Amino acid sequence: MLTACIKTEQMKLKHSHLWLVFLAIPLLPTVLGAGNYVNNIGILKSEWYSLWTQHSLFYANFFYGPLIAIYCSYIWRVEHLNYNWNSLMTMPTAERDIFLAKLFLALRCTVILQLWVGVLFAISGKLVGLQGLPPLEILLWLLRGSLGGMVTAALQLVLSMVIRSFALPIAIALLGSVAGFLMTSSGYGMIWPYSLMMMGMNANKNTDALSSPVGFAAALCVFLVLFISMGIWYLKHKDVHA
Amino acid sequence: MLREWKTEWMKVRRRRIALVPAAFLLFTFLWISWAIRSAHMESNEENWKWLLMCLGLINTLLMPTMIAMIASRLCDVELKGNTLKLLCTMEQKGHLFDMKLLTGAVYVSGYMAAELVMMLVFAGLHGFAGGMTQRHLMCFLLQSGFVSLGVLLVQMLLSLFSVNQILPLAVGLAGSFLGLFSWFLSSPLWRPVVWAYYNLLGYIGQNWDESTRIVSYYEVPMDWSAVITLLVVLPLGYILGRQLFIRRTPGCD
Repeated sequence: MLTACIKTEQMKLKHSHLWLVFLAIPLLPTVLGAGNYVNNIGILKSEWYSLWTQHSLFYANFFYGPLIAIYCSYIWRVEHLNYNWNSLMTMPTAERDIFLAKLFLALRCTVILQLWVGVLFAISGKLVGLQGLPPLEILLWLLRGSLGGMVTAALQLVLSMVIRSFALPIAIALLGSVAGFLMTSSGYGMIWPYSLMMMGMNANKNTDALSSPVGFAAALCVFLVLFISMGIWYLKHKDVHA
Repeated sequence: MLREWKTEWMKVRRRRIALVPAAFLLFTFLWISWAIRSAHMESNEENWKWLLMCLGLINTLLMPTMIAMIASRLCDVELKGNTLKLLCTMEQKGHLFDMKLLTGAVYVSGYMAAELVMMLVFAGLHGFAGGMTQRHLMCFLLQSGFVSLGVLLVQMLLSLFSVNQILPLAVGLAGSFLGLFSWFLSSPLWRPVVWAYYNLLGYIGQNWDESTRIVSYYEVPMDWSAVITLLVVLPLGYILGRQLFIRRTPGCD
């Protein structure tokens, strides 16, 4: 049933042109990160790692979260419109499968987005004249960032489900990401769900600053289980407001 | 006009739109409260300059997205209910556009006023020396107020013409991004980008001494070409946007 739900959710997103947003917005930090790198090449000596600091600085801290939020908001928007909640809740489908299918799409989005950012990073590195290929470690940081992004996706799915406005959850994601940046700087990143993606991505750092991978993994698991449970519980227990 | 004005406010009743700027304001307050802990200034007199510079940067990042949300929420009510066609049989299209824009402008102006009050409270709490000068006040209103009105106009047009609200919100997000980067990469290419005017109209600069890790702030002369561009483009954009809405009202073809 879950597979059928995933297919259905995919069909709902057809012709939404969401991919355009995800294609275009990461281009901005790429171009500007490369520009910043070239302007400060005198003090940025660690080549690919230095470029990474410029590339990830604003992308991870401020924009990855809202991008995921746009996707999650759109996934739920189709239900909030045209009395679709009634249809959704009368389907012979478990609430758990509905939520997990939407979550699966959001998770796929976080991974694809990170891979696209990785491709752009490699291209920009070659364009600014860096030798060789990006270190594999950076690919690991990207994928680790998408793990952190999964927590954000689960939380945003819950918010977008509860809040009927399309825009409000995106505002929450932006504020949450900025707060995440401040929490990470203060050493409280592990307890704030929006910090995990930037910690995973090692944003604005040229050496791996994740001091406790076990703590990171534990925080991921706790938050994921919490948000997924909240989402499913809400779907099961709250009445429809179509 | 008064009837149409009242109608707009009836439409936003119980939509709690004011919560969006309120949340952004609270967040801004928390942010500057956090930032002042690590601010190393040369003298106590520089506190105000630090605060104004800090707020300019925060507004560049947060305001485009906040304005995109407000515009989206104001216009989404018509798009969701598919009410534009019906509305335009009773109300002049131009007036409808004016009222939507004016309602958005009330929220933006309210936010600016609240930010001014917040600055005074913040300065009082931290015992800032002196007060906000007249120049600072004028420059702040020009930098954050007028530029935000320009951003609001762009977002309003996008939200009115997009059935799918992803586009205006993505543009708002990209605007935050562009505005932020304009602070770090100076180039004449920023001139046509409305979000970059938060930086182009900046009136406080900073010098960072690497050895002492002390930042000193100084007054930057106003970029009059940017001011004139903004003051010319803003009414022109309004006239063109209004005409566009009258001629091609979505859902009224």
